[in-house]
Amino acid sequence: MDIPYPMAAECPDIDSLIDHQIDLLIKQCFTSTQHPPTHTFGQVVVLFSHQDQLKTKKKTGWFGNVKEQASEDMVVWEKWTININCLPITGDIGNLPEGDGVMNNAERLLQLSAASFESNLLRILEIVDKHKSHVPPIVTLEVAPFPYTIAVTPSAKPPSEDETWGHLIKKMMD
Amino acid sequence: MAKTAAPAAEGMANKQKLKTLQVVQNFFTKVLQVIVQSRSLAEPKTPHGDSASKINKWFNLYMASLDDEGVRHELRAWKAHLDLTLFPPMIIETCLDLSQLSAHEHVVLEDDSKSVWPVLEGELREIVVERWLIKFDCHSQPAAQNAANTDELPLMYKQAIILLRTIYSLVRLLPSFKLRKLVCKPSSKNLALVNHFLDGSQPVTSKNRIGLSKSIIPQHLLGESHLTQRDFAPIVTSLGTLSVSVVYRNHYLFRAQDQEERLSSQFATSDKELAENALHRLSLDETALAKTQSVSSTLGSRVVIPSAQRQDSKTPFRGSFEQFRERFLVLPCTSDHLERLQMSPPRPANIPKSVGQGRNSFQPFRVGSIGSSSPPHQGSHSPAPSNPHSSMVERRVSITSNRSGSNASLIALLRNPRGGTSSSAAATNMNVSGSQNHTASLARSIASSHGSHLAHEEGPGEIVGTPKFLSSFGSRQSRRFSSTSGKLAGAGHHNDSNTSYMGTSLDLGSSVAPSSGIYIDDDISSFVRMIDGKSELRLSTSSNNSGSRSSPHSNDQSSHADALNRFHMLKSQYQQLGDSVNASLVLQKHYSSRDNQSIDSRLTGSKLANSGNLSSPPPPTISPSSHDNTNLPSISSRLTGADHEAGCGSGGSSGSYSSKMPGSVSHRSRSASSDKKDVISGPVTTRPGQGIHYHDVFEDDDESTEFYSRNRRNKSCDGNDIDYDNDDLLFEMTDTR
Repeated sequence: MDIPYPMAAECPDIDSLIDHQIDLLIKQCFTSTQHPPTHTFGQVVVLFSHQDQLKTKKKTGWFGNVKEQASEDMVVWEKWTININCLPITGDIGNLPEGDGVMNNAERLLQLSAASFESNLLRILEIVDKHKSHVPPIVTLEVAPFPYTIAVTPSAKPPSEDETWGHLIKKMMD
Repeated sequence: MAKTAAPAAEGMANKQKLKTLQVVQNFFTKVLQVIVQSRSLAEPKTPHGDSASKINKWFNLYMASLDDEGVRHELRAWKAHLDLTLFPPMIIETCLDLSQLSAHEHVVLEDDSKSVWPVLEGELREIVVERWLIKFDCHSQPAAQNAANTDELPLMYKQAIILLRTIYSLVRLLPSFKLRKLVCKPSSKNLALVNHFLDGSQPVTSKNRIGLSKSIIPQHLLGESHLTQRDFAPIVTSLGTLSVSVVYRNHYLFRAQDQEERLSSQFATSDKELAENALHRLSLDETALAKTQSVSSTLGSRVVIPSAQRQDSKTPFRGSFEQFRERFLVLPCTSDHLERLQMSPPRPANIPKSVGQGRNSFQPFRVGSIGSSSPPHQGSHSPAPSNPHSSMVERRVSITSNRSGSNASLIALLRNPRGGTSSSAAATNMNVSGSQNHTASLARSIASSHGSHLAHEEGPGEIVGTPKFLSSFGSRQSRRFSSTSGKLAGAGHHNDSNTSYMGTSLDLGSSVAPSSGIYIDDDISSFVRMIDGKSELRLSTSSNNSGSRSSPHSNDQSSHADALNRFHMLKSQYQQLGDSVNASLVLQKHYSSRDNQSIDSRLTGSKLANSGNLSSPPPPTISPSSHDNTNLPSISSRLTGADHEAGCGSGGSSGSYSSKMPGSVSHRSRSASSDKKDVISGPVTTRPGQGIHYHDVFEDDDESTEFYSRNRRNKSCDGNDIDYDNDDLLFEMTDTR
C-alpha cells in the first residue's frame, strides 16, 4: 500500500505468529457467507505483559535449594485493541467519497484503507509517545523484550473506537 | 565517613553525568542517523548484510552507522561537547535542492486540489521542507541529583528507546519521505533532498532559500497553516530535558517543470474552465442558439455560424494556446460588412464558439456581481417572435454590459488561473468577452451594412479594442449601441429609420471608441490596456496577441488591483451609459431632431446635451436594461413610445451619469452594483399604468422583461440620488406626454 511501517527484520518467529493470527482473523471474521457481502468487523488484541517480580515466590526446596519459581501470573501492562472493518469490494459503498472517476471501486477502497492505515499508524505513534511511564524497564536487547500475545476476537457489532491497525506493528517494534 | 561519602557520591554523580551525556550524545547521533537515512541518503541495500559497516546498537535500534563523512563532520561539533550545559540544540533541516535545475526549468508545487503553484525562484537555491529540532535543556537540580541518578539512567534510556522508535516510524510517514520518493524517481532528475545541520543556538537564516515560514501556496486559499508541528514527549531527567520536535510543510508534491509545460498547463486549465462554462451555458441556452441562427441568416452575415457548427465545438478542450487565444481575443466576424472594420483576422471557427459561449454566457452573469442581467436574459429567451434578431441582439447587449465584470474576472483569472474564487466567473467572463467581441463585430457588421459613415469610426475603435479586453471595454458602448441599433435594424431591416439608428448607434459606438477620446474611453482604455498587458504578460511567451495594442502595462499586482477596482466602477457606469444611449437611440427614431450630436454629447458625457427635451437627466431606465438585452428593447420602446423626452431623459440621465462618472466613481459603483435592482425606468415601476400603457404602444415589449424591470425598479436602492432625480424627471416627462 506504499505506506512504510517498521518491521522487525529477521524474526521469523514473530512473522509466522503474525501471519498465523491474521489467517485466523480472516477465517473467523471475514468469510462472507452473506450475500450481498456487508461490512464485517473483527478485532485483534495484542497484550504485553511481563512478569511481576513481586509475585515471584521463592520455594525452599527440601534440600536447601532455593528455587525461584516464577509466578504464573503475568501482569498485562498494555493492551492494544485493533478493530478491523472489512470493506467488501463489491456491493454498495454509497458513503465513499467520490474519486477521480478513473478509479474503480476496488481502488477507491484500497485508497481508503491505506489512508485509514496511515492515520492509525500515526495515532499509535502518538499514543506510544505520550505514555511511556507505564512501560516496565527494558533490560534486554532482544527484539521483543516483553512477552506478548495476539488474540483474535470476532466481533459482530461495529466498534465504537477507531481502528488501530498498526498495533501489530507496535508489537513488532518491541 | 561523610567526607568519603561525599566525594564518592560526587564521583557517582559525575559518572552519572557522563553516562547521561553519553546517552544524550548518542541520542542526538541516532536521531540524526534516522533522519538522514530516510531523507538524503540512499536507502541501504542490505540493512545488516554489510559487515564492514558498524551497526549502531544504541537504543535498541540496530542501524548501520553513518559512513557519510560530511555527516560525521557535522556531528563532531556535538560530540566534542563534554558539558551538558553547553550542549547546543541541533537543527536538522531537510531542503529541496534546486541547484541542479536547468535554466528553463521551474519548480512547481501541487496542492490537494491538483492546482499547480509556481515557486518563485530567482536567487533561491533551496526550499526548506522540514526542520527537526533536538535539544537538551539543561536544568540541574543538585538536590535530587544523587538520588535520582542511579535509577534515572535506565529510565531515561528506556524512554529514549521508545522515543527513538517513534521517531523512526514517524520519519517515514511524514510528507518529506514521500517527497524523497518522488525525487528519487528518474523523472525528477534535477531535484534532490539534502540535509543541513545547524547549530540551534545561532539564529537560522533563510538566505537564498525559501524558509519554512514562507508558504508557496497563497495563504488565503489554504484553510489552515501550510505547516504542521509535532512535538514529541520530552524525556525529563534531573540534569535536563531532552526534547525533539519537527515542523514540516504539508504539501510535498514538488516537481520540476519546463516553462512551456507550465504555460500549456495554464492554458489547459483555463481552456477547461472555459469549456466547462461554455458547456454549461450551451446546455442551458438552446433556444438562444436557434435564435441566433435565425438572426444571422436574417442579417445575411456570416458572422454567426449555424448553431450546429457551434454545438460541435462545444467541447473545444484543445488545451492549446491557440484555444486560449481564441477565447480571449476578440473574435471578428467574417461578415462582408466587416471589411471596412479591419478587425483582427477573421476566424470563422472561433465565431461559432464565441457566439455559443456568448449566448450561453447569460447564465454565468447571474452569479455574483456580474449576474445582473441573467434573469432578464432568461426572460428574453422568449422574445417577441417578430424580433428574433432583437432578442439575439439584446442578449448580446447584455453580454456587453456584463462584459465589464467579465473582464474583471478575466483579469483575475489570468492573474491566477488556478484561483478558485474567480476562476469560474472569469471563465464565464472569458466566454462572455468572446461573445461580446463577437457581438460587437456583429453589431458593427450590421451598422456597416447600412453604410453608415460611422462605421469607419467604429472600425479603428474596434480595431483598437479588438484584442481581448480592450475591445470589450472600448467597444462596449459601441457594441451595445450597435447591437441595439442592429436590433432595430434587424427588426426593420429595410426601414430607413433604421439607418438613423445605425448612425446613432455607430455614433455612440464611435463615441465610446477608445480613439474618440471620450472620457470613458480614457478611463477604460487605459484599464483595458492594463488588462491586456497583464494578460499578455501572462501568455506572452507563446501567445501572440499582436492584434492587441495593449500597452506594456506593468504587471504589478497592486496596479492591477487598482485597475480592477476602477474597472468595477466603470463597469456600472458603462452599463448605465449604454442603457441610456440605447434609449436615446430609440428616441432618435421618432425624433429626427435628435441628431447624433446630442447623442454624441451624451456619450462624451461632458454634459448631456440638454437640447430640447434632453434637458433633465432622465431616469436611469436604460442602465438596467443594458444589462439585460431583453429589457433593452422594451425599455427603449417604452421610452420611444412614451415620450422622446423620456428617452432623452434617459439619454440625459446617461449623460448625467457619464458626466458624473469621473467624479463620483463610488456613486457609480453603488448604482452599478445595484443597477440591476434599482435603476429601472421610473415610469415602469412607479406608474404601473404608465408602464402598461407603454407596453401597449410598443410592439416589441416583452411582458416578462418589463415585469422584471419593474421588479428591479421596486428594488431600487435609496442611496442613489441621481436615480431619484432621474426618476422624477422621467415621471415629469412622461407626464407631459
